[in-house]
Amino acid sequence: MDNLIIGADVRTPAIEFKWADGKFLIRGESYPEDVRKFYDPPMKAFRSWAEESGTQAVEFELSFVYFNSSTAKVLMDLFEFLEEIAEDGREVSIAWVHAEDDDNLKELGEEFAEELSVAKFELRVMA
Amino acid sequence: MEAKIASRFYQFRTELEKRGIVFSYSGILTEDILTSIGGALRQKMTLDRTDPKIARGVFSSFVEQVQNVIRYSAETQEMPTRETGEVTPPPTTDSRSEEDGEQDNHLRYGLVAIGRQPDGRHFVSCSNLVAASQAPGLRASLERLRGLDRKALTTLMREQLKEAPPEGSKGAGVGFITMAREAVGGFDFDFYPIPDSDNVYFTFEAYF
Repeated sequence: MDNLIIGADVRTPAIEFKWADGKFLIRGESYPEDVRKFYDPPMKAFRSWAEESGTQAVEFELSFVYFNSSTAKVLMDLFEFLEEIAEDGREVSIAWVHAEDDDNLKELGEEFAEELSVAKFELRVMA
Repeated sequence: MEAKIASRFYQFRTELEKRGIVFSYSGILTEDILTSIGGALRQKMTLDRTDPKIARGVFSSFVEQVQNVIRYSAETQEMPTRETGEVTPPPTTDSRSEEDGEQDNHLRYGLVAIGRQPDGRHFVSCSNLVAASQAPGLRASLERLRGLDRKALTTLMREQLKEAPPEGSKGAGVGFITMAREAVGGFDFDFYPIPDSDNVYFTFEAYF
């Protein structure tokens, strides 16, 4: 399966899903014109991969400059799914990367992490 | 003639300045307009050396407010369909489903204004028509948000995100919660009844 790579645009983030490595990255801005149209294909591909990849470990990195409230819904669905596959016995770690002075994004990351009990969560300051 | 138009617009400009308005747009709001005004707004705040935290809040509120208008303003104009040139009937506010707003072919009107108040606070406001029948519900939910602190709003946001319909649909609640949560200087809103109309004029203003 080829890696899923989408370049960043003004209103949409870069996406890098490297299946064989179990490494997944979403980075940049996220206020798409049509959230569903942008996120549905990669998220569906991720879910199908998860079904077929046994208990391979997953490292997810979320590194946003800004995201809007419709993106927040996509992220909530993602966190719920990641927790589910972690409960099924897979090693899942999520890194939430935010700018050092961005308390708002930090807080939102911590709030999303409330959904997790098995999956690992780590806050990281943007380099 | 020229002098008259110029003087009229100079007065208009002076009026905007008096109100501290740095940016304003009135008319059809589209996603393309959001992209370009949003970009200009960020540039302007960088040039002005606006505190990055304030700048992020202002930008976020701007995006949520404009997307609200694009999805919900009751003042619309139909676009001709490509095949026939015929126009589709405008949606009635009650019959519009939660999901179809982004796909329908109606252009929506709104008025956005961004600026500074005499006390130095930044404001982002958006005004548009809403159906009079929806005003009481909107007022009640905004008043409820006003009574909550930031922590409570963050928790409410997470709860709403879990309950909200599938990704991409128009969860209006979360947009207002986001703005209420991020507006460090609070927010205000108001409804102005329009005589002989089923609509009222709604203004929402967030402060930073």
